[in-house]
Amino acid sequence: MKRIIILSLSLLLTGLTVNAQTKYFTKKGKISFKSVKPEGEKVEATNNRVTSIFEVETGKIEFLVLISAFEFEKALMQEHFNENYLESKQFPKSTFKGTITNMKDVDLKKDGSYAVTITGDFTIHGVTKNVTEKGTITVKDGKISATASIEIALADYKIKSPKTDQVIKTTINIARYELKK
Amino acid sequence: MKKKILLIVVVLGLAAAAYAYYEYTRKPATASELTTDFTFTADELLKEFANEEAATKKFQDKTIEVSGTIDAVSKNEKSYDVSLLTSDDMTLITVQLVPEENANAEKLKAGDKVTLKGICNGKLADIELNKGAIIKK
Repeated sequence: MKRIIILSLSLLLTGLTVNAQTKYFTKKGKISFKSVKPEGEKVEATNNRVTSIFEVETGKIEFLVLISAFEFEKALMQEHFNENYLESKQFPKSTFKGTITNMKDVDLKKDGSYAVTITGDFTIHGVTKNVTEKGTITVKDGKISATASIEIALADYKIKSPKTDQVIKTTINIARYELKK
Repeated sequence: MKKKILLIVVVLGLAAAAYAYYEYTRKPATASELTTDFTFTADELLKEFANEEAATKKFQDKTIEVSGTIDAVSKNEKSYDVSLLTSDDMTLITVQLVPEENANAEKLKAGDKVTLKGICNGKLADIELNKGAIIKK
């Protein structure tokens, strides 16, 4: 009997240590990008269903997005984007899995805007590259938001483009991270 | 005879231009404009995604009608996201409705039974559909 109690107690304790990580998450982040085609036409798209998970103690951060959920103004652009460029049937997701390297500079208990450096693996179109980017975490009235602007060189990810040096400006905006219970 | 040929060329040219203009300005289709490819309950759709890779290939870009109980209705940038409960707490079925449904979406609340229709994007944490419409509540 004693053994059972000890066993269940230790199980309980393991359970507690696992839960000790403070995680924030959202399924409602936004990613948008803008580019100008060689013929001068603007290409813009937005995805409002970005999932992101962020672990305070370790600084681990992840972003996941479904390529086919990017919404364009024009159907043709959306079709070309999915079928010819990103080949979303074959590569349905884009992910970033990395770490905030200067988490020590961020005080989530204090209102403010914190510049962060994020390094990790970015995967799009089936190609993974290690990247380092800058972003901002903002704490206001205890609510956490985050933004980053990155540039993606299409050639790096084997995304064919009429212009070989095409770079796409991409903005990531997490309006609100919720505490994961 | 020459006039006839000229006329045919002009008519064909106009038709081509009209088609090109239509193609160029065409808006992405919303679910309500498309015929339903698959009909599921929220739990049936969850089961289909047990093999995520196969399900993504099968359902991406397909129009799906899904019925279930609302877990939450939340505002996105311009429209509403409606999540349906499944037997797995971690994986809901989330449909991003079109802004035209905003007035109807505001009347929905957690616990309501609804049928939604959307275009399937695949699975992240949730199984995601967009360009959605409310079919029945």
